[in-house]
Amino acid sequence: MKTLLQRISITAALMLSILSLAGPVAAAPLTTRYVVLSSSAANAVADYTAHFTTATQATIGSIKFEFCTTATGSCTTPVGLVTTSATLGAQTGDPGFSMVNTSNGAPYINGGTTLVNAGTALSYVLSGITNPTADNTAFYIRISTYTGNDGATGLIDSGTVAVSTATALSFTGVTPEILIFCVGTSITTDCSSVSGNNINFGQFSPLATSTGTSVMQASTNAANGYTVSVNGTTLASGANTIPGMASTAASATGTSQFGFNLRANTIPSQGANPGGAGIGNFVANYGTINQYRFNDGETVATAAGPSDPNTFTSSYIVNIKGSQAAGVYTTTLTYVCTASF
Amino acid sequence: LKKTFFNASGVAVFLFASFAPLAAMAATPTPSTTPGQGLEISPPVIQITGDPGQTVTTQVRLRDITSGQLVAKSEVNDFGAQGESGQPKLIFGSDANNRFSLKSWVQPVGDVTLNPGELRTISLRIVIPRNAEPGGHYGVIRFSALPPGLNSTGVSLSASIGTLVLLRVSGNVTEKLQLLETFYRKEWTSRQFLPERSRDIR
Repeated sequence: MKTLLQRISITAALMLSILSLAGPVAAAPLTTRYVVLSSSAANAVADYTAHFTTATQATIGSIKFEFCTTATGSCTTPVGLVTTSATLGAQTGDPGFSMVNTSNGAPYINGGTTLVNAGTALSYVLSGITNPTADNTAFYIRISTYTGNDGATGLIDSGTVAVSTATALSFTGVTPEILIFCVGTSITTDCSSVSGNNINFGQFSPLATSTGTSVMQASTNAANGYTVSVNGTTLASGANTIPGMASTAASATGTSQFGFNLRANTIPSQGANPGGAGIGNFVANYGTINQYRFNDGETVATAAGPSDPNTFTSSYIVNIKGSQAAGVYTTTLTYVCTASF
Repeated sequence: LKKTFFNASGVAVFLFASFAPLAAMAATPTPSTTPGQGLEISPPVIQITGDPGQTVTTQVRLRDITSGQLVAKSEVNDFGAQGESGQPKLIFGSDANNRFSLKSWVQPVGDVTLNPGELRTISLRIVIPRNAEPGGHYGVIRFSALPPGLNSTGVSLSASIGTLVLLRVSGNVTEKLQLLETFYRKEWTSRQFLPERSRDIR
């Protein structure tokens, strides 16, 4: 019996020796861990939002965040890093912790009393941490959970996250006052998509109205908006002309006339109403459905202030009388866009 | 005979199959791939002052905002007011009686060739004559994309964009304001009729 007790004692002593040689029991790794910095600029005071997922079911009494120049081994706090003013912000997954920031480079939060399941995603915002002094320098945050409240006792899980300061990039740009204007025969989005620069009416007839459309788009950030006018002569073939419609009127076959408006018309069926997010619109003279007009130099569209793009569709009609002289009738219409003042 | 017939039919089918796509292409007009005309100008309005005899320099920036190369022809016009809402009325040609003219003071700029997306800074020199009348002189520096030539009935389109130049020549100026018309609606209160500041005037 005595021998047996001696054997048990010897065995227990050997086991204790072996355990102490092995050191602390290895913690399970925290998973899905990362830290988001509100600013990575050197010396900046930033918020550090730590995200990680528990590996072990336990009541977490404290969580330590140790800032080191290396991922493993003895920990040296990065030069310039200050955590002694850190405060604890938003907490998710396992709230109820308080900040203990007395040891620079190794703040911890404590006060947790809830049993947390394995695989629980946690996040904590550590605010008011001054970043290390050096630019573009990596450092590491060793995150450990403990059953104890002191950030040291009863290690549960742990994991390391690499972070880095970075040279702050400065982005500057100028938005000057600008005026944008384009003209074509089709447009899909903005002026970069405008295409076409002429309208072919084909063969005129006294019995049918010839039609065609063009498009224009304008926008500006100028305080008083913009004005678009049409400039040019009516259709001409040498000395022969098809008179422009000096007064607003309907299309009439058998009468020589040339005009346009900026509306979706039914007689003849063509055109579109102004579109786009801007405040630009047609003027009254060119804004009545099925009523056409053309006078050199007249304003056709305006915006009374800064305006996003508006697309205007010009719908042209050409009629000729039976005695209209034969010829190739052409003209150039210049749409002029300027700011208003 | 059968063999010949089948051979002929085969050739006909082959020919139809070969040329059918071409026929379809001829029947359906191909969408125009010719770029339109579009320009961006900055700033849209320039307000400057100068002394008689002085040369004033300023700049405008012009950008081709289309997918094609543009040749922008420059032109200077005077302008006046159109209506009461600040719309400029361009004056084409010369008007010797226009006391507010700026056109002849602006040095020619020349045509500007722009590649797609290219932004070009263009310097403007305005030479104010020694005998220039003090006060406001108004012009517009315009850039117009060259219109295409036509060989059939139709309309050739051109986009033109301009910067308004409002130049004030220093010197003694007598500014006059005439109240041409006033009216009062019966249903208005005095607050509606007179603005706040005016009512404070004794």
